[in-house]
Amino acid sequence: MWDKIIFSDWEIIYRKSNSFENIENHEHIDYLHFVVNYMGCPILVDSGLASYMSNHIHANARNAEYHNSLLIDDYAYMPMKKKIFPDKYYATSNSSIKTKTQTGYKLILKTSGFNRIDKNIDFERHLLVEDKSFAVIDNSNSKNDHKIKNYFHFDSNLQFIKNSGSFRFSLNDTSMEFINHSNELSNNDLNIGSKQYGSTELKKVLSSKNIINDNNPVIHRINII
Amino acid sequence: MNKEYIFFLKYNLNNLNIFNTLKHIYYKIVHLIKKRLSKTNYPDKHLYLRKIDFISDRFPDPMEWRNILRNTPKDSNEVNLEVFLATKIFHIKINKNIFQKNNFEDPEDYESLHRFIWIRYYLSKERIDLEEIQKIESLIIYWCQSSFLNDNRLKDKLIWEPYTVSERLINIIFFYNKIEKDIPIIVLSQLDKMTEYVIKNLEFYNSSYGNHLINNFRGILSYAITFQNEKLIETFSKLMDEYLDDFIEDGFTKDFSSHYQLLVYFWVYDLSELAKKRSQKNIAKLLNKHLKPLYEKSMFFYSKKSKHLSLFGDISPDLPPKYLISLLDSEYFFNKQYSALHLYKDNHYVG
Repeated sequence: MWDKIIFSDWEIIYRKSNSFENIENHEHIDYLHFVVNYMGCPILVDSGLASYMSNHIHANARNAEYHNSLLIDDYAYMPMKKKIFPDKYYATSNSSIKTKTQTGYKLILKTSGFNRIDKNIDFERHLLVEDKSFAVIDNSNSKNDHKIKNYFHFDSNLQFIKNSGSFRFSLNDTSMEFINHSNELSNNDLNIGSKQYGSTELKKVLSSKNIINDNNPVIHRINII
Repeated sequence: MNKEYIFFLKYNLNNLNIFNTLKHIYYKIVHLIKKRLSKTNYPDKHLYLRKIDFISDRFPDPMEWRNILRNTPKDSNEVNLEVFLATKIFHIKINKNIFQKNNFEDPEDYESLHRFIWIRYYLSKERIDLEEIQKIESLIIYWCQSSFLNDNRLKDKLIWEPYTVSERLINIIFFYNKIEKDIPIIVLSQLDKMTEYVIKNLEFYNSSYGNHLINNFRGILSYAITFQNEKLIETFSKLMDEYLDDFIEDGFTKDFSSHYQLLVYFWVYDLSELAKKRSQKNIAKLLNKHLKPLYEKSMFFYSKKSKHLSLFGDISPDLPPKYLISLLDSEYFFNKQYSALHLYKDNHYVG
């Protein structure tokens, strides 16, 4: 159900399977999402869920954009109100392959979920973990151009310094930079995170908008400086 | 128009998928009709549970009740207890405050109050305060008295959700086991009633179920172990085993939430401690089978070095992640004083 990559001081935790048909569960739309810890401390986090009330400001936190995930043409890999559709419409085949490389680890997360938008997308997200960097590479197999929006949610305890083209932050005396965001979200519901039911806190969210096609993967990266 | 419906329209026009959609609509309608007509969501194989009398009547005669009810707490009795609920700390000044639903914006708070889950914090301190224990007991007796007298204020649906009843049962029983005091007859009568209620309202959803059903079983087994009800033990330990086997895969619960993972670990740990204490070896054995994998997969999300739990999925309103972490890490204290591990130690009383 869950798996992780531990390499050097990195820890990447991710979901690797679909939910079970006969179980009422507490899942979010969080396949393709992951959290990143460095030396045990959180860098990229989950937004949690502050309330079960439908009129709460955090009511939509189960959606993909509240995770370190993405939207294509403004849609997630699975419809939000999936129960109104027939299973076969949204049935997604998800798979993950973790391999050790010469320099670290490579994880490939595949989903057919976006194929309802374009049957040739066969989306793949590659995570590359190396000693001094962590990269996220999003790939479409379709020749058609699609709009992709990426979201990265940072732990509320991190202090950031804006640099030209990157954000810098430090963690346990290690300096890091995040590359290839185009937008810092502010005063946005997505900035709200929760670590306990009923309580909220603000966190930094970096996002980017790009065009993706079979020749144009979208890359984001955290480097240790 | 929402583009999702455009994608869906396209799907229906392709490869005769429209037949899948019509089949889906047909099944939805049939399901809805069945649900309306059926009195229960129990799967056929478990319908017998609603017909068996598991709990024998132990009410004293009416004359005795008159004596029992003579000295029980009243609406206006002072309590002065601060209780941790789902989203806030609530000050119970006098008994009747627990029925003032308007004080609670989030229904989870009102449910949490009537689940008596807040008792756990008082019992999670290094030293338990005797005065607090007396106040808690007087509130439990007040609640049970009101329930015995069919007080209209207790007829709220939220108070009788099977999950809430299960938690109330578990926490009241835990309280008396922990303080090692005989349970008053008025409380016993309501524990009987609540157990009977949970058995007849188990949270089966026809062919599916969720963690609530596991907690229903936990409630019934807490009662069965405490009162040595062999018939209940035999039936519900088998069901608990069957459903835990199905609900846990490789140590992960099928909830897809790291906090609910930890909560289910707490439930199994809590019940196994009771089973061990009451020498119920068979129940302890079946729970122990799941404890180690559940512990290991809870630790999967936790770093002892940085004291950080990676959250995924929903966050439960029951007990916060930072409280439950104390069950994984003996050096961790919620709000600097509460550790779930203290629940299972012989604490010293003060006051």
